[in-house]
Amino acid sequence: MQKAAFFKVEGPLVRTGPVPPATYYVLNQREFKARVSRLSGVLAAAGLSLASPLGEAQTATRLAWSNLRGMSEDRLHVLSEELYERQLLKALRAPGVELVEGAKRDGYVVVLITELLDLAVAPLAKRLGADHLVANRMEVKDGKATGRLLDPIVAQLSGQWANAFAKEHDIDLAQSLAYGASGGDALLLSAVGNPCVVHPDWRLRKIAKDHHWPIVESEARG
Amino acid sequence: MSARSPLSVPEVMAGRELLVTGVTGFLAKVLVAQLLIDLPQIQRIHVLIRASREHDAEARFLRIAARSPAFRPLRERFGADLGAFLGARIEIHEGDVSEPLFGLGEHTVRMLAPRLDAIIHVAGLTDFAPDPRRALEVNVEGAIHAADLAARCERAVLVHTSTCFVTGLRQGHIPEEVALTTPRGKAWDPEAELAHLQALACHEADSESHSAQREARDVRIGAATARAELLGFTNIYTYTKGLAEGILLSRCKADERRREVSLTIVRPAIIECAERFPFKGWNEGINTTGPLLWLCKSFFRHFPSKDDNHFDLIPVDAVTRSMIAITAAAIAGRSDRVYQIGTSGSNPHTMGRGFELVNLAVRKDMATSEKKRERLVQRFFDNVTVPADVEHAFSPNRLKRLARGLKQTLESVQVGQMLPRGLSRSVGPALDRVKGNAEMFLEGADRQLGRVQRLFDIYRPFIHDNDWVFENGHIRALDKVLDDDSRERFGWVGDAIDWRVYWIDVLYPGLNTWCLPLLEGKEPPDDPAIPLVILPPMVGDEEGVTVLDAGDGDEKSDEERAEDREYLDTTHEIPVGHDADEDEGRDLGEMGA
Repeated sequence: MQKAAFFKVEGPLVRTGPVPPATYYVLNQREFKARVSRLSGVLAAAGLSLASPLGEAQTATRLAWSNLRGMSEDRLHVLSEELYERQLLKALRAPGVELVEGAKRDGYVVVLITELLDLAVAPLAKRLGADHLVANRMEVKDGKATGRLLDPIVAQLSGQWANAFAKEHDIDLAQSLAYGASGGDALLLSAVGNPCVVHPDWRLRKIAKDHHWPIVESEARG
Repeated sequence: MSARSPLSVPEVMAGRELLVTGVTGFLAKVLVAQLLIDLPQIQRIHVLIRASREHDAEARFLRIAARSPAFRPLRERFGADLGAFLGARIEIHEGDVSEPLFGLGEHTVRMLAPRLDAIIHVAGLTDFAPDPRRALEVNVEGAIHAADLAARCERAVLVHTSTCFVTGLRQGHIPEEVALTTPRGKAWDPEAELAHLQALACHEADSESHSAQREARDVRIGAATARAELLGFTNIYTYTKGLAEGILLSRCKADERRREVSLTIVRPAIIECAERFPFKGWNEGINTTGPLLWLCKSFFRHFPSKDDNHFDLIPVDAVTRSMIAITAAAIAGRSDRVYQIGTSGSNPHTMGRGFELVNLAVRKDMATSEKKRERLVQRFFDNVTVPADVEHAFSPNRLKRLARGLKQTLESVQVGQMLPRGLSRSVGPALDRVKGNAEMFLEGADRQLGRVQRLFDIYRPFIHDNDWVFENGHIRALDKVLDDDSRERFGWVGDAIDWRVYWIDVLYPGLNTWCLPLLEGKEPPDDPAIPLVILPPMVGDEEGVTVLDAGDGDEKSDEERAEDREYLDTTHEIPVGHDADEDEGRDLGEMGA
């Protein structure tokens, strides 16, 4: 069996703000009217996520990304490319990159997990040499986004998901590493033998302290 | 196509002699360059070029060979030996497609008759609203003269370049056949129609004055446009091209005085920037999407178009590859009558997608612009498509009325009388200057908006009113019968175009470099000239060696510049300060030839 290193992109690898990831796309819709009206939808999703943090993460994620309905596939690609080049690359954390490189050297299967769209993170996965990318995928029909995410929806990945992934890829979770940064990552972290939190939010910090998980803090920039 | 052995283009073309017309235009330049570089087996390429007032045909061809980016791959490959290479393969003939037998002397015709295997007739006047007299001479009579010359030859086939848009107002799937009716579905006799057009083109001015000449030309344009509309064509260009197709059908038949000519008609859709040859993005002159893209880069945002209509673009090198394969098939007796070289039939994209890709290309380009206005503001203003018949808040006509109204209001205001005398003396002159500037701005806006509206009117049939899907089964069938080597070099590539990549990485940067400068009154980059010597004598020229130094033959004649400027001023109706491409093949709307 193989051992894997799971990296949540938001936090351990890339500095992120409090703005939901769909915001960038919504603010760059083709028409001004849609930019304004859809932004309110994304903000409502963010509110839902904050108000009920434990149970409704998937619903909030679905709701946030649903505001991309009608966006052209071309725009999705170009905005994703922009997001990668103009934001993700600039916010890359050097210590996180070193952790990925170390895991690869040590023979771990590297798995990147992100709530962003696969189109935006695929170049990062390629750059870091990740073996797997688990990201949200937008459904596209007739050249336009439907606003629906394809399964699995990456919001708050469960231990059940980790077990299924491990089984599919012949991974021994007990020998595996996982790096997370937000409360939503706690279930994934608790499913592996060696969890580690990186720049955690207040919820994950509390959980990490309760479970004696190592906490890494560094603001060195990549 | 019959199911026989694979067709080898190099084998068919080995030892052949071809005559190509329209070589000073965009398409034929690329065609000749590609023939030279990819088919050295060809015995001889005869090029027909019209002399200008200041330069003869040879000087014009030398300028192309020495400086045109279309010939860059040849210059890179052969360097100082290019002259010798061209000398062994090219024969330059001074002539004019509008004259019988292209104006070639009887001696030249007799010399060519036993030698020519194909006449590739590319010359065409591609303006949408040209003087019908010139359109008749070049597009219709030029085709007739090509057929006449082919008939004088012992075996030459005729490959005639037309345009997909001869279909006019017919909608939907357009078959690859010459229509025997008008686009409105009525029976027509092309020969009788030719006489009608000749009568229209005869209208003369009352006097020699410039204004009278211009007025007479406008009358001719108006009459021909009305005639085109009556028959169901979109403009004078497609009318004359459609007429040429109909006439060629009869003129290529045998009669007691002439042999039958094998006729193949190539109908490209909207010819755009090269994908690969001569290099990625190359374009020349002001083509169809250039002015639209130019508008998209301005603050103008509302375009009359229907999102679901097909947008049929084809890179110039995809057309030339196909034309070479078609010519080989025609020589081998294995061609179909009509080939539509377009993508809407098998790799379609729509107007909506095209305008969206323009948005994204502009956005990407302006992200790194040095101008703050573009980087921080303009790139976030996306264009949108709107119905042409609904006058929306930002339609040019409404904005034009607004500008006019404001200007009239300003003109009626007397600043000095509105202010107290003391105040008037102190701030009056400054306010007058502001008022004057505002009036000038509004007058400029009025004029520009009028031009935008006229541009939309010209483009409307192609981006709004009609939805065409040009079937392209013949070129795809030809692709299948080519052998592997020929398919690699001359096969159909239209189905492999990724439109996102093409628009953003090829078309937009290409037009930005090669077309938009023309619209902004600047020069596009030209290659540095190389000294070029073509060794064999020009036909009928006993002097022999011609040397072109850097810059020699580079400048256009006053006549050419005047023609170009007049063309741009009257047809494009957008501010320009530079000449477009030369004569035949000059291109507002390089739709076809």
